[in-house]
Amino acid sequence: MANYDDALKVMDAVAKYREDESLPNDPHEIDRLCERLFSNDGFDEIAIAWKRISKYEREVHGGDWPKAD
Amino acid sequence: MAKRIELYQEAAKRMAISPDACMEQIRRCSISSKFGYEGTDPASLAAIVGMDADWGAAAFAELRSTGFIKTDWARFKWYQPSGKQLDDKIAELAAIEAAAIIRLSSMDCAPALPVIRALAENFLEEADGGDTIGTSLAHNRMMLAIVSATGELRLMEDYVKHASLAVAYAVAARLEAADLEGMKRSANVIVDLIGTPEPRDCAAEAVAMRLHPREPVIA
Repeated sequence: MANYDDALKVMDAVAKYREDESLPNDPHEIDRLCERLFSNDGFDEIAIAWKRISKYEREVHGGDWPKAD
Repeated sequence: MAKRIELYQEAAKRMAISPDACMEQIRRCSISSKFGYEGTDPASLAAIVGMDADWGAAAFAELRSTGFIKTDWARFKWYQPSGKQLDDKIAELAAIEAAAIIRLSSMDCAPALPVIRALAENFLEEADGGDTIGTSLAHNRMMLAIVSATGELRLMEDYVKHASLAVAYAVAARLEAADLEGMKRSANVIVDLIGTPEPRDCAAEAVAMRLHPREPVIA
């Protein structure tokens, strides 16, 4: 079930970001889950969607995720 | 180069009928729209074929990576393309395949030709057998080898993304005996002309195999 649970968490993070651009409490964790999904499937569509968000958000925040308040 | 070969091998290996009868049943039900537009998860998947939770989890992961289960906003749903969506997907595949054939005409692709010819032979055998799913899978394996032979990693990545196993099954659901006959004639032309300095007819047959399979261009 690990793959499904990972995919579900990443899908939820992607859906919330698309809805109102909100980021999860621990985006590093979502990055890690994506790496696990990629290790099973290099073309995992939901992991690719998050990877794009992650790359964009880290870039506009100077190279890393913004610190949590 | 290693990544492209690894990608090719992984994609080619996936392009086959499943040895697991339950998985094969699920694939065929999915493409014939038996599951409707309900969402899915590992537990409901296992329940469909009366298997346990471990099977459901592994099958769910496999069906996602082969394109039978897609992500729709915040849920997982079955891949059930409309006629228009499948037409668009087939047109994308044809465009990439034609581009790869044109690209191969200006480079030394001799090392790849034996594999391409062997896969074309395999395609002809499958088409002779008359099984549309087997033929569609063999068609995709042959085209994967052609696209991979260009050595273009990005092209290969795009192609693998579009040419999923689920798309091959969806295409197979449309094929009829007359299509297989036309595709066989096109495949023979492709084998004769691939890698030669005259790629236009070869590319045209590759496009014909996708867009109007029962009407080869010159074959």
